Amino acid sequence: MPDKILKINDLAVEYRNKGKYLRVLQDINLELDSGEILALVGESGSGKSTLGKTILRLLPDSARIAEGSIFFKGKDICNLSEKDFNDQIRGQEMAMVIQNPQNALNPVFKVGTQILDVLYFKSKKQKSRKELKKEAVEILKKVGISDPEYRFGEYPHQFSGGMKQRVMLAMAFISNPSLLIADEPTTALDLTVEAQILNLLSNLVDEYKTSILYISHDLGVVAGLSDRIAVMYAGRIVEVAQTRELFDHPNHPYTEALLKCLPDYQKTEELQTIPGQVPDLDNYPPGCNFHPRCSYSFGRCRQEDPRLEEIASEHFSACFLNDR
Amino acid sequence: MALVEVKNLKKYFVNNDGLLYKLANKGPIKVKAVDDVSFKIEKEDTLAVVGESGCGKTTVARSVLRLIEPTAGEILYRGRSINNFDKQELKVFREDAQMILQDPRSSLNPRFIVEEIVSEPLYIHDQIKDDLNLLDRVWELLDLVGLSKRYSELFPHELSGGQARRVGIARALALQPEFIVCDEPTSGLDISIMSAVLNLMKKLQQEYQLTYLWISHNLHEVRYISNKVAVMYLGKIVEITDTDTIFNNSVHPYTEALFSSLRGINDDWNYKEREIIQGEVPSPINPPPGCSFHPRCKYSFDKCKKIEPELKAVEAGHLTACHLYN
Ligand SMILES: Nc1ncnc2c1ncn2[C@@H]1O[C@H](COP(=O)(O)OP(=O)(O)OP(=O)(O)O)[C@@H](O)[C@H]1O
Ligand SMILES: Nc1ncnc2c1ncn2[C@@H]1O[C@H](COP(=O)(O)OP(=O)(O)OP(=O)(O)O)[C@@H](O)[C@H]1O
Ligand code: SF4
Ligand code: SF4
Ligand SMILES: [Mg+2]
Ligand SMILES: [Mg+2]
Repeated sequence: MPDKILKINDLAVEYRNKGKYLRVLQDINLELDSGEILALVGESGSGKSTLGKTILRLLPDSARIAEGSIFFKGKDICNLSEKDFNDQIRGQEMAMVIQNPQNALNPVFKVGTQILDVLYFKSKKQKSRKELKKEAVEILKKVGISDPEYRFGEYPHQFSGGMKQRVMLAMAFISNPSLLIADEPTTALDLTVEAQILNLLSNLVDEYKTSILYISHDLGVVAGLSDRIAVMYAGRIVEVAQTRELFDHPNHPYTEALLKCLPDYQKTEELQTIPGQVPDLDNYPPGCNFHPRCSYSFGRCRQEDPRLEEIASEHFSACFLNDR
Repeated sequence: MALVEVKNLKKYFVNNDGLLYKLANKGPIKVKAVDDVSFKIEKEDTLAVVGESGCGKTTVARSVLRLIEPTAGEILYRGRSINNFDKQELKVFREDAQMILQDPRSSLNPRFIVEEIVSEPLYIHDQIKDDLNLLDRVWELLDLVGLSKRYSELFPHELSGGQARRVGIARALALQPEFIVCDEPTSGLDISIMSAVLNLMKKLQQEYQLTYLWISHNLHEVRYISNKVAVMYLGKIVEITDTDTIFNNSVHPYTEALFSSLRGINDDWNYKEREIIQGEVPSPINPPPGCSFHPRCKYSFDKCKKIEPELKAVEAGHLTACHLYN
């Protein structure tokens, strides 16, 4: 059995809104092996970014962990002090490519300076900035940015959307973490550049046994990249399985409905959607969160919460249909 | 008359600082983001623009809406040059033409709640009859993009990525524009909501005769939403034609490479089978001589290294810039 690099137990996270705490994540249980790529997919607003930020302690002050624990390499990191977390974990053991590069890059500093900071930190302040500049330029080149020496001296607003995204990835590559959380890191890239970046990611895994939590809406990418997939709906993980298994035998009605929405360039008629609205955070329905939109729902679904249960080898789903 | 006509648009970003570069290059550095681009968009058409990250798509989009001043060239809207618009004409143009920005958050003022963000254009353009109906209008717009009333009270930082994107779409629709520039409008949305947004945009187009300039990396989406496609490479259009032709009979080697990775739903998915275009990433500062794609083109021959191919018709309504076809 390979070591679990990450283990999340019964995690619940809440955001404060108008004096009330609203639960965004509930009953999150998740494990990640070293060298494994786990994809996190699911409804917009279901809590994927929140989960990533919780692991890396990037949540705003208005959020709190209400329940549960997070173990990283066997250590309970929820109980680490802020200082210990920064010294031991952040940027070295774990790094995150956040969803919006606009917010992640500091607009007043040159892109090169920001990359140098990461390198300088990584070298434990041993190397001079001059030495490091060469490395920084090299890494820009690696992520497919032309004229890297020139780009080094430009500001974030002078980069295109996809170029900013690649800078974010470059910084994550530099820190060479054991766990990389990548939140939709290739949304602004065309297919060919994206393939190049995905290759870099899989090389990282092959070479350093990096584990990746890969948040994405692009099932085509996820299918090729990930070992396992976890599907989220309204704050919960509703299904987890090996990638192939999930595509071939989706179990949860939400997963099934989601896969039906895949657009196909060979067809041009109206695109399929999942009917109904996502429930509001402050107004979750009783019972299964998906029941108002589920075409299979029955009596029990309106009363009880289904829990994630193993329905086949290493295939978990949270749906009462499996009990019938 | 085309609704929008772009004539020989050039946008060079000039950098005057950095002494070294001045010396090395004998003059300020110019990033040739858009280099002589021309196209027309007929009313009720959707022209999709696709191409490599950094090839100048967003720069074209911003120029077309006069959010940046072009280095050279002209943009006509209903046959009138937008750069000669007087104050009144510009005001009308700002109502009729809207943009969904690539980066959703930069369009959302962090100090405003969603209600204010979505209704702001209505205030600016004096389109508010009474405040009571205003909130209804905001709710209606949010509902169109699948957000409930609750979201009208939230600040941008309280939204998820996909929620912020949808607020940006609702805001662009507020003034009932006739022309919308959509810069990757569905990136970051899950497929169900993406499909809903695409269905909505298509329905609005049919109902209100809207015209779109649509930038996207998602070729499935391009197929569904557009009837014309322009393929850009390093600041230039290398192929432009109707959508069916691009998907079935494209001719330019770059188009071929870009579309080669497209997979149907029943095909086996694997990004690893995608063609990665080999060779040095092109520089918009010192573009390769001749055809700018030649260092990476598997068909390149002598002429390609010396002479720049012109955008010419291979058949009626199908233009490409490649020596193989001239
Ligand atoms: N700072 C915050 N304060 C209050 N609510 C928040 C905050 N951040 C996020 N939320 C809410 O929490 C929920 C989960 O947000 P999150 O960003 O985790 O979603 P997501 O799954 O990443 O969605 P997307 O795919 O759209 O990025 C959303 O309903 C969002 O509105
Ligand atoms: N404000 C600016 N100042 C300087 N250079 C800029 C500016 N905006 C864009 N550029 C440069 O112009 C070129 C084209 O950028 P643009 O944003 O138009 O690309 P894009 O095709 O939209 O790419 P992406 O798909 O990554 O969003 C890039 O080289 C970029 O660095
Ligand atoms: S538990 Fe019931 S409502 Fe929920 S997904 Fe299963 S069948 Fe549908
Ligand atoms: S002109 Fe030559 S190099 Fe350019 S795309 Fe055509 S064949 Fe390739
Ligand atoms: Mg998110
Ligand atoms: Mg862009």
